[in-house]
Amino acid sequence: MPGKKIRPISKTDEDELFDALLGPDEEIDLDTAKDVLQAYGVDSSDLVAKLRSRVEAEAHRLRSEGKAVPVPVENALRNLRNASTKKSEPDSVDPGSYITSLLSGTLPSAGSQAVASLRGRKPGDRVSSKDKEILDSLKNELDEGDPESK
Amino acid sequence: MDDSRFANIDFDGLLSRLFAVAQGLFARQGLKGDASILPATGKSAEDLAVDVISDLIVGEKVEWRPKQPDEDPFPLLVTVLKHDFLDLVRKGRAYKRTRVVGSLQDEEDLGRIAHPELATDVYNNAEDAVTKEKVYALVKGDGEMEEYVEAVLELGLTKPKEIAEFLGISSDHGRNRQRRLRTKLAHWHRSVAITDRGKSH
Repeated sequence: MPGKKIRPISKTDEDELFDALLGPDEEIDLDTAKDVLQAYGVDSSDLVAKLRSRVEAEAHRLRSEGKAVPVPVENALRNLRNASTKKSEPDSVDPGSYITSLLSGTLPSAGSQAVASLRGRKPGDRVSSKDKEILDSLKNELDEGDPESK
Repeated sequence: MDDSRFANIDFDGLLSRLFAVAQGLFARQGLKGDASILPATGKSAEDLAVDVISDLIVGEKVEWRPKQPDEDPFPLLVTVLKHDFLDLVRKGRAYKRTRVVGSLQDEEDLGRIAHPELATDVYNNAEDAVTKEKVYALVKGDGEMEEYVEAVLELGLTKPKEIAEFLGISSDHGRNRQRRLRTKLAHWHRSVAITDRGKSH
């Protein structure tokens, strides 16, 4: 039933109260929404993936019935695929400076957090000589497997 | 005419905002936590948010004809989502109509602040509904937030301008406090779910 009119819902006193306390739902901004998602431990990319699979299923159904997929649906699919690809691409990191930071124990990311946490250290603490030994041996192993380093 | 609908929509942002609205509706109803499901419907807040946009894209429920190329469909989708939520609540209520009617009085006594159409629902646990007491508990110890909540709940101020004037703060500060309360409510709602999971294990 395309084109069905959606009538606005009139606000009750209780709605006004919630609007005053939390702000109107219609005005939720992205930062607030991200805070809420974080509170629930939900990743927005999971929501995008769900929507994408739903729309893909609809497009598939139309094609299987020999019908053309409407342009807006194609637009949405392209957009959703781009959004998924963008999310799955890792941030670009310079491998050289990453390894240097890793070895000096000053990696300013989750990496150093993990190393520090493993040894009961605080982020930013230098790694112990024993940890450095382990990391050096791992680096050597990686270098041996890398034809460019020979 | 070139139909570029949905080509430039930020779906990630749109879904995030709709999820926040849907979770707010669930929280107000005392429906529990991150994976809360409306009884008899099998629908979660996440489902509601995804359904609404999916229906918009495939044009089954509502046709969106933006007047401007960069028009935001969010306000329209919030209305659709609220209609869907009310429909689901009615469906759930019919399913659970046989539950103890005596609890209605208890829920009213708790000072529940929910949509009147929903306020007499009996299939939610009154303990988990949003009450004045719950709101005060959420802001306890935070002077700024306490005065904000008092202005609304005790003095009945609901217009942003009059609240800001009464508290001597800017509208931006008022909005910031609303945002903080919404986030606190979300954390509390999630914690109810975690506690419940702990009890059931």
